[in-house]
Amino acid sequence: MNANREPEDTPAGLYGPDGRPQFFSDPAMDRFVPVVLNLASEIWLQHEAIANLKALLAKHGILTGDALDQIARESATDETREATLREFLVRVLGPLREMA
Amino acid sequence: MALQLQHSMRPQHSPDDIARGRFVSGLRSFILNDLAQDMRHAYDTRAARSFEKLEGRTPQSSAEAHKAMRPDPAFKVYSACRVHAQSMVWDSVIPVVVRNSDQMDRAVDETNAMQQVALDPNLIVPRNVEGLDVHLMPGGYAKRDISQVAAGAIYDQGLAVFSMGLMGENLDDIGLSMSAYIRAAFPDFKPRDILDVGCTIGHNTLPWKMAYPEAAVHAVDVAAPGLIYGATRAKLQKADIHFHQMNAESLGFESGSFDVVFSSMFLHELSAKTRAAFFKEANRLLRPGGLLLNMELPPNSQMGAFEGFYLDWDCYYNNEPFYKGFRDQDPRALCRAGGFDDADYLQFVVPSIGIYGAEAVEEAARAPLSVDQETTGRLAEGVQWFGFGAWKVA
Repeated sequence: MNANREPEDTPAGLYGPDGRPQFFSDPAMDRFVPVVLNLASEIWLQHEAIANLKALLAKHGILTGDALDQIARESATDETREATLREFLVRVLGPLREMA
Repeated sequence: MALQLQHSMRPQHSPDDIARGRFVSGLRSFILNDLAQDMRHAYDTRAARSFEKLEGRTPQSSAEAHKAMRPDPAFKVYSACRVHAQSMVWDSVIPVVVRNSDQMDRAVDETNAMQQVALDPNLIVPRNVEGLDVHLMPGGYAKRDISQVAAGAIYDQGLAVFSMGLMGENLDDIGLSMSAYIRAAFPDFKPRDILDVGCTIGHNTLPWKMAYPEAAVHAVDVAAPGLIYGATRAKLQKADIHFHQMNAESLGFESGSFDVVFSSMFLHELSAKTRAAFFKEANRLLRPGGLLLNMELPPNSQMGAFEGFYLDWDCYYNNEPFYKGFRDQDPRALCRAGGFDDADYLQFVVPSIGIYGAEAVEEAARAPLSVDQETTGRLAEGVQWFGFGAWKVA
Protein backbone atom coordinates (compact mmCIF):
# COMPACT_ATOMS: atom_id res chain seq x y z
CA MET A 1 0.00 0.00 0.00
CA ASN A 2 1.87 3.13 -1.09
CA ALA A 3 1.73 6.51 0.56
CA ASN A 4 -0.65 8.17 -1.84
CA ARG A 5 -3.27 5.55 -1.08
CA GLU A 6 -3.27 6.10 2.67
CA PRO A 7 -6.34 7.85 4.07
CA GLU A 8 -5.67 11.37 5.31
CA ASP A 9 -6.29 10.53 8.97
CA THR A 10 -4.25 7.32 9.06
CA PRO A 11 -2.91 6.71 12.59
CA ALA A 12 0.85 6.28 12.84
CA GLY A 13 2.27 2.79 12.66
CA LEU A 14 -0.45 1.08 10.63
CA TYR A 15 1.85 0.08 7.81
CA GLY A 16 5.31 -1.46 7.69
CA PRO A 17 8.25 -0.16 5.68
CA ASP A 18 6.95 -2.08 2.65
CA GLY A 19 3.70 -0.14 2.79
CA ARG A 20 1.63 -3.18 3.72
CA PRO A 21 -0.53 -3.28 6.84
CA GLN A 22 1.40 -4.47 9.88
CA PHE A 23 -0.76 -6.02 12.58
CA PHE A 24 1.70 -7.96 14.71
CA SER A 25 4.60 -6.59 16.74
CA ASP A 26 6.82 -9.10 14.98
CA PRO A 27 6.38 -8.45 11.24
CA ALA A 28 7.27 -12.07 10.50
CA MET A 29 3.89 -13.03 11.93
CA ASP A 30 2.22 -10.88 9.29
CA ARG A 31 3.91 -13.04 6.68
CA PHE A 32 3.03 -16.33 8.35
CA VAL A 33 -0.71 -15.74 8.47
CA PRO A 34 -1.00 -15.73 4.65
CA VAL A 35 1.04 -18.93 4.53
CA VAL A 36 -1.42 -20.65 6.84
CA LEU A 37 -4.34 -19.48 4.71
CA ASN A 38 -2.59 -20.48 1.50
CA LEU A 39 -1.95 -23.92 2.93
CA ALA A 40 -5.53 -24.29 3.99
CA SER A 41 -6.59 -23.38 0.45
CA GLU A 42 -4.25 -25.94 -1.07
CA ILE A 43 -5.47 -28.63 1.29
CA TRP A 44 -9.04 -27.87 0.36
CA LEU A 45 -8.22 -28.05 -3.36
CA GLN A 46 -6.69 -31.47 -2.82
CA HIS A 47 -9.69 -32.53 -0.79
CA GLU A 48 -12.02 -31.61 -3.62
CA ALA A 49 -9.82 -33.14 -6.31
CA ILE A 50 -9.61 -36.43 -4.44
CA ALA A 51 -13.32 -36.43 -3.72
CA ASN A 52 -14.04 -35.82 -7.42
CA LEU A 53 -11.65 -38.58 -8.54
CA LYS A 54 -12.96 -41.07 -6.04
CA ALA A 55 -16.51 -40.33 -7.13
CA LEU A 56 -15.49 -40.92 -10.75
CA LEU A 57 -13.65 -44.15 -9.98
CA ALA A 58 -16.46 -45.43 -7.83
CA LYS A 59 -18.95 -44.54 -10.56
CA HIS A 60 -17.02 -46.80 -12.95
CA GLY A 61 -16.44 -49.54 -10.38
CA ILE A 62 -12.64 -49.32 -10.42
CA LEU A 63 -11.85 -47.81 -7.03
CA THR A 64 -9.58 -50.25 -5.20
CA GLY A 65 -6.94 -49.48 -2.55
CA ASP A 66 -4.30 -51.55 -4.33
CA ALA A 67 -4.55 -49.69 -7.60
CA LEU A 68 -4.16 -46.32 -5.89
CA ASP A 69 -1.14 -47.55 -3.88
CA GLN A 70 0.55 -48.79 -7.04
CA ILE A 71 0.13 -45.44 -8.76
CA ALA A 72 1.61 -43.68 -5.71
CA ARG A 73 4.69 -45.95 -5.78
CA GLU A 74 5.22 -45.30 -9.48
CA SER A 75 5.14 -41.55 -8.85
CA ALA A 76 8.21 -41.66 -6.56
CA THR A 77 10.58 -40.78 -9.41
CA ASP A 78 8.22 -38.61 -11.41
CA GLU A 79 10.03 -35.38 -12.39
CA THR A 80 6.80 -33.64 -13.25
CA ARG A 81 5.67 -34.07 -9.68
CA GLU A 82 8.93 -32.53 -8.48
CA ALA A 83 8.35 -29.50 -10.65
CA THR A 84 4.77 -29.27 -9.46
CA LEU A 85 6.01 -29.36 -5.87
CA ARG A 86 8.32 -26.45 -6.60
CA GLU A 87 5.39 -24.44 -7.98
CA PHE A 88 3.35 -25.43 -4.93
CA LEU A 89 6.02 -24.19 -2.52
CA VAL A 90 6.43 -20.88 -4.32
CA ARG A 91 2.68 -20.36 -4.33
CA VAL A 92 2.05 -21.25 -0.69
CA LEU A 93 5.19 -19.89 0.90
CA GLY A 94 5.44 -16.78 -1.27
CA PRO A 95 4.38 -14.43 1.58
CA LEU A 96 7.55 -15.40 3.48
CA ARG A 97 9.71 -13.87 0.76
CA GLU A 98 10.83 -10.29 1.25
CA MET A 99 11.58 -9.84 -2.43
CA ALA A 100 8.27 -11.28 -3.70
CA MET B 1 -20.88 -20.29 -0.64
CA ALA B 2 -19.08 -19.33 -3.83
CA LEU B 3 -21.63 -17.81 -6.15
CA GLN B 4 -21.93 -19.26 -9.63
CA LEU B 5 -23.08 -16.34 -11.76
CA GLN B 6 -26.16 -17.07 -13.83
CA HIS B 7 -25.52 -14.79 -16.80
CA SER B 8 -23.93 -15.95 -20.05
CA MET B 9 -20.75 -13.89 -19.67
CA ARG B 10 -19.59 -16.20 -16.92
CA PRO B 11 -16.37 -18.06 -17.79
CA GLN B 12 -15.67 -21.76 -17.90
CA HIS B 13 -14.30 -22.92 -14.55
CA SER B 14 -11.88 -25.78 -14.04
CA PRO B 15 -12.41 -28.12 -11.06
CA ASP B 16 -9.60 -26.29 -9.23
CA ASP B 17 -11.25 -22.93 -9.96
CA ILE B 18 -14.47 -24.17 -8.42
CA ALA B 19 -12.70 -25.56 -5.36
CA ARG B 20 -10.59 -22.42 -4.92
CA GLY B 21 -13.58 -20.11 -5.26
CA ARG B 22 -15.54 -22.19 -2.77
CA PHE B 23 -12.64 -22.12 -0.34
CA VAL B 24 -12.05 -18.37 -0.50
CA SER B 25 -15.75 -17.65 -0.18
CA GLY B 26 -15.95 -20.00 2.80
CA LEU B 27 -12.84 -18.46 4.33
CA ARG B 28 -14.31 -14.98 4.00
CA SER B 29 -17.54 -16.15 5.57
CA PHE B 30 -15.58 -17.58 8.51
CA ILE B 31 -13.67 -14.31 8.91
CA LEU B 32 -16.65 -11.96 8.48
CA ASN B 33 -18.96 -13.94 10.71
CA ASP B 34 -16.96 -16.05 13.20
CA LEU B 35 -13.80 -13.97 13.60
CA ALA B 36 -15.86 -10.78 13.50
CA GLN B 37 -17.91 -12.14 16.38
CA ASP B 38 -14.68 -12.81 18.30
CA MET B 39 -13.59 -9.26 17.62
CA ARG B 40 -16.85 -7.87 18.95
CA HIS B 41 -16.44 -10.01 22.07
CA ALA B 42 -12.85 -8.84 22.48
CA TYR B 43 -13.99 -5.24 22.19
CA ASP B 44 -16.65 -5.63 24.86
CA THR B 45 -14.57 -7.67 27.29
CA ARG B 46 -11.04 -6.33 26.76
CA ALA B 47 -10.38 -3.49 24.34
CA ALA B 48 -13.08 -1.03 25.42
CA ARG B 49 -12.25 -1.66 29.09
CA SER B 50 -8.53 -1.11 28.54
CA PHE B 51 -9.32 2.11 26.71
CA GLU B 52 -11.59 3.20 29.56
CA LYS B 53 -8.84 2.59 32.13
CA LEU B 54 -6.54 4.89 30.21
CA GLU B 55 -9.00 7.55 29.09
CA GLY B 56 -11.65 7.43 31.80
CA ARG B 57 -14.39 6.74 29.25
CA THR B 58 -15.28 4.15 26.65
CA PRO B 59 -14.44 4.80 22.97
CA GLN B 60 -16.77 7.42 21.54
CA SER B 61 -15.95 7.21 17.85
CA SER B 62 -14.87 4.84 15.12
CA ALA B 63 -11.31 6.18 15.39
CA GLU B 64 -11.23 5.59 19.14
CA ALA B 65 -12.61 2.07 18.76
CA HIS B 66 -9.89 1.44 16.15
CA LYS B 67 -7.26 2.72 18.58
CA ALA B 68 -8.65 0.51 21.32
CA MET B 69 -8.72 -2.58 19.13
CA ARG B 70 -5.31 -2.33 17.49
CA PRO B 71 -3.34 -4.00 20.31
CA ASP B 72 -5.90 -6.79 20.72
CA PRO B 73 -5.07 -10.25 19.35
CA ALA B 74 -8.61 -10.70 17.98
CA PHE B 75 -8.14 -7.59 15.84
CA LYS B 76 -4.74 -8.74 14.64
CA VAL B 77 -5.93 -12.20 13.68
CA TYR B 78 -9.11 -10.92 12.02
CA SER B 79 -7.25 -8.22 10.12
CA ALA B 80 -4.31 -10.29 8.94
CA CYS B 81 -6.66 -13.02 7.75
CA ARG B 82 -9.03 -10.60 6.07
CA VAL B 83 -6.31 -8.74 4.19
CA HIS B 84 -4.91 -11.94 2.78
CA ALA B 85 -8.34 -13.41 2.05
CA GLN B 86 -9.00 -10.30 -0.06
CA SER B 87 -5.87 -10.98 -2.11
CA MET B 88 -6.96 -14.61 -2.43
CA VAL B 89 -10.26 -13.43 -3.95
CA TRP B 90 -8.43 -11.82 -6.87
CA ASP B 91 -5.85 -14.62 -7.11
CA SER B 92 -8.73 -17.07 -7.48
CA VAL B 93 -10.33 -15.27 -10.42
CA ILE B 94 -7.62 -13.55 -12.45
CA PRO B 95 -6.29 -16.80 -13.99
CA VAL B 96 -9.88 -17.75 -14.87
CA VAL B 97 -10.40 -14.47 -16.68
CA VAL B 98 -7.06 -14.77 -18.49
CA ARG B 99 -8.00 -18.26 -19.74
CA ASN B 100 -11.44 -17.08 -20.87
CA SER B 101 -10.30 -13.80 -22.31
CA ASP B 102 -10.77 -14.71 -25.98
CA GLN B 103 -14.27 -16.01 -25.35
CA MET B 104 -15.19 -12.77 -23.60
CA ASP B 105 -13.82 -10.64 -26.42
CA ARG B 106 -15.90 -12.70 -28.86
CA ALA B 107 -19.00 -12.12 -26.73
CA VAL B 108 -18.44 -8.36 -27.01
CA ASP B 109 -18.43 -8.68 -30.81
CA GLU B 110 -21.25 -11.21 -31.11
CA THR B 111 -23.64 -9.19 -28.96
CA ASN B 112 -22.78 -5.89 -30.69
CA ALA B 113 -22.39 -4.57 -27.17
CA MET B 114 -20.34 -1.59 -28.34
CA GLN B 115 -23.52 -0.15 -29.87
CA GLN B 116 -24.71 0.36 -26.30
CA VAL B 117 -21.52 2.04 -25.08
CA ALA B 118 -20.48 5.64 -25.67
CA LEU B 119 -16.79 5.81 -24.81
CA ASP B 120 -14.99 9.12 -24.44
CA PRO B 121 -11.38 8.79 -25.61
CA ASN B 122 -10.63 12.27 -24.25
CA LEU B 123 -11.86 11.55 -20.75
CA ILE B 124 -9.11 11.73 -18.16
CA VAL B 125 -9.59 8.79 -15.83
CA PRO B 126 -9.13 10.08 -12.26
CA ARG B 127 -5.96 9.05 -10.48
CA ASN B 128 -7.90 7.31 -7.71
CA VAL B 129 -9.32 4.98 -10.38
CA GLU B 130 -6.38 4.65 -12.77
CA GLY B 131 -3.64 4.41 -10.15
CA LEU B 132 -5.30 2.58 -7.30
CA ASP B 133 -5.66 -1.14 -6.68
CA VAL B 134 -9.05 -0.48 -5.11
CA HIS B 135 -10.20 -3.31 -2.83
CA LEU B 136 -6.66 -4.67 -3.39
CA MET B 137 -7.78 -5.61 -6.92
CA PRO B 138 -4.60 -5.70 -9.01
CA GLY B 139 -4.76 -2.99 -11.65
CA GLY B 140 -8.04 -1.60 -10.34
CA TYR B 141 -11.04 -0.77 -12.51
CA ALA B 142 -8.98 0.53 -15.41
CA LYS B 143 -6.62 -2.45 -15.82
CA ARG B 144 -6.05 -3.01 -19.53
CA ASP B 145 -3.13 -5.44 -19.80
CA ILE B 146 -5.21 -8.60 -20.35
CA SER B 147 -8.02 -7.40 -22.61
CA GLN B 148 -10.49 -4.57 -23.14
CA VAL B 149 -12.99 -6.15 -20.74
CA ALA B 150 -10.80 -8.12 -18.33
CA ALA B 151 -11.03 -5.59 -15.47
CA GLY B 152 -14.82 -5.81 -15.66
CA ALA B 153 -14.72 -9.60 -15.71
CA ILE B 154 -12.28 -9.72 -12.80
CA TYR B 155 -14.53 -7.42 -10.80
CA ASP B 156 -17.62 -9.51 -11.64
CA GLN B 157 -15.95 -12.83 -10.85
CA GLY B 158 -14.19 -11.42 -7.80
CA LEU B 159 -17.40 -10.01 -6.41
CA ALA B 160 -19.02 -13.42 -6.91
CA VAL B 161 -16.38 -14.95 -4.63
CA PHE B 162 -16.20 -11.94 -2.30
CA SER B 163 -19.95 -11.69 -1.74
CA MET B 164 -20.37 -15.22 -0.33
CA GLY B 165 -23.72 -15.50 -2.10
CA LEU B 166 -25.09 -12.47 -0.23
CA MET B 167 -25.37 -10.09 -3.18
CA GLY B 168 -27.76 -11.97 -5.46
CA GLU B 169 -27.30 -14.54 -8.19
CA ASN B 170 -26.04 -11.86 -10.58
CA LEU B 171 -24.67 -9.56 -7.86
CA ASP B 172 -27.77 -7.44 -8.25
CA ASP B 173 -29.29 -7.66 -4.78
CA ILE B 174 -28.60 -4.01 -3.98
CA GLY B 175 -30.34 -2.78 -7.13
CA LEU B 176 -33.19 -5.25 -6.71
CA SER B 177 -33.72 -4.33 -3.05
CA MET B 178 -33.47 -0.58 -3.63
CA SER B 179 -35.77 -0.48 -6.65
CA ALA B 180 -38.28 -2.77 -4.93
CA TYR B 181 -38.26 -0.47 -1.90
CA ILE B 182 -38.90 2.64 -4.02
CA ARG B 183 -41.74 0.92 -5.87
CA ALA B 184 -43.30 -0.18 -2.57
CA ALA B 185 -42.80 3.11 -0.72
CA PHE B 186 -43.78 5.39 -3.60
CA PRO B 187 -46.26 3.48 -5.79
CA ASP B 188 -47.31 6.63 -7.68
CA PHE B 189 -43.74 7.43 -8.69
CA LYS B 190 -43.26 6.44 -12.36
CA PRO B 191 -39.78 7.38 -13.56
CA ARG B 192 -39.32 7.69 -17.34
CA ASP B 193 -35.55 8.15 -17.34
CA ILE B 194 -33.15 6.57 -14.86
CA LEU B 195 -29.43 7.16 -14.46
CA ASP B 196 -26.99 4.97 -12.52
CA VAL B 197 -23.75 6.82 -11.76
CA GLY B 198 -20.55 4.88 -11.01
CA CYS B 199 -22.13 1.72 -12.38
CA THR B 200 -18.90 -0.34 -12.77
CA ILE B 201 -20.35 -3.32 -14.71
CA GLY B 202 -24.00 -2.31 -14.43
CA HIS B 203 -24.86 -5.17 -12.09
CA ASN B 204 -27.11 -2.93 -9.99
CA THR B 205 -28.36 -0.96 -12.99
CA LEU B 206 -30.28 -3.82 -14.56
CA PRO B 207 -32.78 -4.16 -11.67
CA TRP B 208 -34.05 -0.64 -12.38
CA LYS B 209 -34.98 -1.70 -15.88
CA MET B 210 -36.76 -4.71 -14.41
CA ALA B 211 -38.58 -2.55 -11.84
CA TYR B 212 -39.55 0.11 -14.40
CA PRO B 213 -39.54 -1.61 -17.82
CA GLU B 214 -40.96 1.44 -19.60
CA ALA B 215 -38.12 3.68 -18.44
CA ALA B 216 -34.98 4.44 -20.44
CA VAL B 217 -32.04 3.41 -18.27
CA HIS B 218 -28.56 4.91 -18.57
CA ALA B 219 -25.39 4.00 -16.69
CA VAL B 220 -22.11 5.87 -16.44
CA ASP B 221 -18.63 5.19 -15.17
CA VAL B 222 -15.14 6.51 -15.83
CA ALA B 223 -13.55 3.10 -16.47
CA ALA B 224 -14.03 1.71 -19.98
CA PRO B 225 -13.37 -2.00 -19.27
CA GLY B 226 -16.31 -2.26 -16.88
CA LEU B 227 -18.59 -0.39 -19.28
CA ILE B 228 -17.80 -2.65 -22.23
CA TYR B 229 -18.05 -5.77 -20.09
CA GLY B 230 -21.25 -4.46 -18.49
CA ALA B 231 -22.84 -3.69 -21.85
CA THR B 232 -22.07 -7.22 -23.01
CA ARG B 233 -23.38 -8.68 -19.78
CA ALA B 234 -26.56 -6.59 -20.10
CA LYS B 235 -27.04 -7.68 -23.72
CA LEU B 236 -26.71 -11.32 -22.72
CA GLN B 237 -29.33 -10.70 -20.05
CA LYS B 238 -31.51 -9.04 -22.70
CA ALA B 239 -31.59 -5.72 -20.85
CA ASP B 240 -31.63 -2.48 -22.83
CA ILE B 241 -29.19 -0.26 -20.95
CA HIS B 242 -27.20 2.66 -22.38
CA PHE B 243 -23.65 2.89 -21.05
CA HIS B 244 -21.57 6.08 -21.12
CA GLN B 245 -17.99 6.84 -20.15
CA MET B 246 -18.33 10.00 -18.05
CA ASN B 247 -17.03 11.53 -14.86
CA ALA B 248 -19.58 12.09 -12.08
CA GLU B 249 -18.19 15.60 -11.57
CA SER B 250 -19.40 16.65 -14.98
CA LEU B 251 -22.05 14.46 -16.57
CA GLY B 252 -22.71 15.12 -20.21
CA PHE B 253 -26.50 15.12 -20.12
CA GLU B 254 -28.82 18.09 -20.43
CA SER B 255 -30.30 19.53 -17.25
CA GLY B 256 -33.59 17.97 -16.21
CA SER B 257 -33.00 14.72 -18.11
CA PHE B 258 -33.79 12.18 -15.40
CA ASP B 259 -36.41 11.18 -12.84
CA VAL B 260 -34.01 9.00 -10.86
CA VAL B 261 -30.30 9.50 -10.30
CA PHE B 262 -29.04 6.40 -8.51
CA SER B 263 -25.68 5.25 -7.21
CA SER B 264 -24.62 2.21 -5.26
CA MET B 265 -21.44 1.71 -3.26
CA PHE B 266 -20.07 4.67 -5.20
CA LEU B 267 -19.78 7.74 -2.98
CA HIS B 268 -17.24 6.18 -0.63
CA GLU B 269 -14.86 5.72 -3.56
CA LEU B 270 -14.83 9.44 -4.42
CA SER B 271 -12.70 12.24 -3.06
CA ALA B 272 -14.67 14.81 -1.04
CA LYS B 273 -14.37 17.25 -3.94
CA THR B 274 -15.77 14.84 -6.53
CA ARG B 275 -18.49 13.72 -4.14
CA ALA B 276 -19.67 17.30 -3.61
CA ALA B 277 -19.66 17.94 -7.35
CA PHE B 278 -21.72 14.79 -7.97
CA PHE B 279 -24.53 15.97 -5.67
CA LYS B 280 -24.73 19.24 -7.59
CA GLU B 281 -24.74 17.35 -10.88
CA ALA B 282 -27.49 15.04 -9.62
CA ASN B 283 -29.58 18.06 -8.69
CA ARG B 284 -29.00 19.62 -12.12
CA LEU B 285 -29.92 16.41 -13.96
CA LEU B 286 -33.13 15.70 -12.07
CA ARG B 287 -36.50 16.88 -13.26
CA PRO B 288 -38.81 18.45 -10.67
CA GLY B 289 -40.27 15.57 -8.65
CA GLY B 290 -37.24 13.40 -9.38
CA LEU B 291 -35.29 11.40 -6.86
CA LEU B 292 -31.61 11.20 -5.99
CA LEU B 293 -30.98 7.85 -4.31
CA ASN B 294 -27.65 6.53 -3.06
CA MET B 295 -27.15 3.07 -1.66
CA GLU B 296 -24.19 3.42 0.64
CA LEU B 297 -22.51 2.54 3.87
CA PRO B 298 -24.35 4.03 6.83
CA PRO B 299 -22.82 7.14 8.40
CA ASN B 300 -20.70 7.05 11.55
CA SER B 301 -22.98 9.65 13.16
CA GLN B 302 -25.81 7.12 13.20
CA MET B 303 -23.81 4.14 14.49
CA GLY B 304 -22.04 3.08 17.65
CA ALA B 305 -18.24 3.37 17.94
CA PHE B 306 -17.56 -0.32 17.37
CA GLU B 307 -19.99 -0.61 14.44
CA GLY B 308 -18.38 2.44 12.89
CA PHE B 309 -14.87 1.07 13.39
CA TYR B 310 -15.92 -2.28 11.93
CA LEU B 311 -17.01 -0.65 8.68
CA ASP B 312 -14.13 1.84 8.59
CA TRP B 313 -11.66 -1.06 8.70
CA ASP B 314 -11.79 -1.15 4.89
CA CYS B 315 -10.51 2.41 4.69
CA TYR B 316 -7.16 1.51 6.20
CA TYR B 317 -6.69 -2.09 5.16
CA ASN B 318 -8.61 -2.62 1.92
CA ASN B 319 -7.29 0.25 -0.15
CA GLU B 320 -10.36 2.42 0.05
CA PRO B 321 -8.83 5.74 1.14
CA PHE B 322 -12.01 7.84 0.98
CA TYR B 323 -14.20 5.36 2.82
CA LYS B 324 -14.04 6.82 6.33
CA GLY B 325 -14.05 10.39 5.05
CA PHE B 326 -17.38 9.65 3.40
CA ARG B 327 -18.78 7.85 6.44
CA ASP B 328 -17.82 10.78 8.64
CA GLN B 329 -19.95 13.10 6.52
CA ASP B 330 -23.60 13.75 7.27
CA PRO B 331 -25.69 12.42 4.36
CA ARG B 332 -28.31 15.11 4.86
CA ALA B 333 -25.62 17.80 4.68
CA LEU B 334 -24.26 16.27 1.46
CA CYS B 335 -27.70 16.56 -0.12
CA ARG B 336 -28.15 20.09 1.22
CA ALA B 337 -24.80 21.18 -0.24
CA GLY B 338 -25.95 19.75 -3.56
CA GLY B 339 -28.94 22.10 -3.55
CA PHE B 340 -31.59 19.81 -2.10
CA ASP B 341 -33.88 21.01 0.66
CA ASP B 342 -33.65 19.36 4.09
CA ALA B 343 -37.39 18.79 4.00
CA ASP B 344 -36.99 16.64 0.90
CA TYR B 345 -34.30 14.37 2.38
CA LEU B 346 -35.01 10.68 2.77
CA GLN B 347 -33.13 7.72 4.18
CA PHE B 348 -34.05 4.15 4.91
CA VAL B 349 -32.76 0.67 5.65
CA VAL B 350 -33.98 -2.06 3.34
CA PRO B 351 -33.53 -5.77 4.04
CA SER B 352 -31.74 -7.69 1.32
CA ILE B 353 -34.51 -8.92 -0.97
CA GLY B 354 -32.54 -12.08 -1.75
CA ILE B 355 -32.21 -13.02 1.90
CA TYR B 356 -35.43 -11.73 3.44
CA GLY B 357 -37.79 -11.74 0.44
CA ALA B 358 -40.04 -9.15 -1.24
CA GLU B 359 -42.52 -9.04 1.63
CA ALA B 360 -39.82 -7.90 4.06
CA VAL B 361 -38.89 -5.09 1.66
CA GLU B 362 -42.53 -4.01 1.45
CA GLU B 363 -42.80 -4.16 5.24
CA ALA B 364 -39.69 -1.95 5.57
CA ALA B 365 -41.38 0.57 3.27
CA ARG B 366 -44.31 0.67 5.71
CA ALA B 367 -42.38 0.50 9.03
CA PRO B 368 -38.88 2.04 8.92
CA LEU B 369 -35.93 0.04 10.26
CA SER B 370 -33.23 1.51 12.50
CA VAL B 371 -29.83 2.28 10.97
CA ASP B 372 -27.78 1.38 14.04
CA GLN B 373 -27.80 -2.38 13.72
CA GLU B 374 -24.83 -4.67 13.19
CA THR B 375 -26.43 -6.03 10.03
CA THR B 376 -26.75 -2.61 8.35
CA GLY B 377 -24.23 -2.19 5.58
CA ARG B 378 -22.19 -5.14 6.77
CA LEU B 379 -21.61 -7.91 4.27
CA ALA B 380 -22.34 -10.82 6.58
CA GLU B 381 -25.27 -12.98 7.56
CA GLY B 382 -28.46 -10.92 7.65
CA VAL B 383 -27.19 -7.96 5.62
CA GLN B 384 -29.46 -4.92 5.17
CA TRP B 385 -28.78 -2.02 2.83
CA PHE B 386 -28.75 1.69 3.68
CA GLY B 387 -30.17 4.21 1.25
CA PHE B 388 -30.34 8.01 1.33
CA GLY B 389 -31.01 10.87 -0.99
CA ALA B 390 -33.53 13.59 -1.67
CA TRP B 391 -36.45 14.55 -3.85
CA LYS B 392 -36.04 17.51 -6.14
CA VAL B 393 -38.75 20.01 -5.45
CA ALA B 394 -41.61 19.65 -7.91
